[in-house]
Amino acid sequence: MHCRRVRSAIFLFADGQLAGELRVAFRHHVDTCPHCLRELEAAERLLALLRRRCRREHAPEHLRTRVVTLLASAPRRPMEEEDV
Amino acid sequence: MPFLDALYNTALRMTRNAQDAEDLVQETFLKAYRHFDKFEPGTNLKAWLFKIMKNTFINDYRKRQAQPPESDFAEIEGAFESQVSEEATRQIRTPEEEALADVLDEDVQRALDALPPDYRMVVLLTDLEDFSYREVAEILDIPVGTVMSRLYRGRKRLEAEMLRYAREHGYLRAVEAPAKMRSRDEGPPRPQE
Ligand SMILES: [Zn+2]
Repeated sequence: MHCRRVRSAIFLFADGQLAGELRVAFRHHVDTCPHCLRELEAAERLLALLRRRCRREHAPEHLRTRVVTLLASAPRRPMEEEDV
Repeated sequence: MPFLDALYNTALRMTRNAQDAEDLVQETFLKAYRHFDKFEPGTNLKAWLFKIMKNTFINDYRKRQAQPPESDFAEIEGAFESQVSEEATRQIRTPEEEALADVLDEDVQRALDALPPDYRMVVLLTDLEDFSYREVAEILDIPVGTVMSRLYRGRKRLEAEMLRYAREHGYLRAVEAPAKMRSRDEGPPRPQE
């Protein structure tokens, strides 16, 4: 595996989407290539940052109530119409 | 209500408007409820709900909101390979990347909101909602290769944008520092000549 190929697969590896032989070859390359290792570490730092620092908005309580009420009063699955 | 928070969080980032986000989520649940017979047991319920929401968003909201032209949303793919090789040969990693540690939560937010919608969606679904590439492809009705290239470019843009903010903050500190040094230098009175 060459550096160029490894670079294009860094996010795949970091996302755990690289399997089997490719994963092994990738791992082997970064274990021996400090440049690609640095790129991988940078990618992993970025992903960790995104996961950690992205604010997650909670649904407001009135929305929860609205949805529950709506579904409770919604007509049952319109089987009749769709199955005809 | 399963996945209400996750759906709302994503809806808010898609519509950028609390009222629209609430309506979108409400409609998503209503549709899911009405068409629950179409859900295949054993498959991912969360992914199914997200797909309904994405379709609802595209069909209803995008039309109503008079969003930027289509080209923005459906950016042309394909330059992925050349872009990757270009970046691979550029090699511009500096200690500056450590500056990412300085970014504020608002900066992450700001950078994410500044992404083109296509990229933003893929990043949100992968990095915040932990869907696999295949699930994201399924939700958005795009090939897995497109998921990968959008994710790559989206994350690179985010990184660049956040580094820019970090540099701005760094610059502010750099301006303060010499001022302090100067006052310290002026502190002890120098012997008169
Ligand atoms: Zn290498």
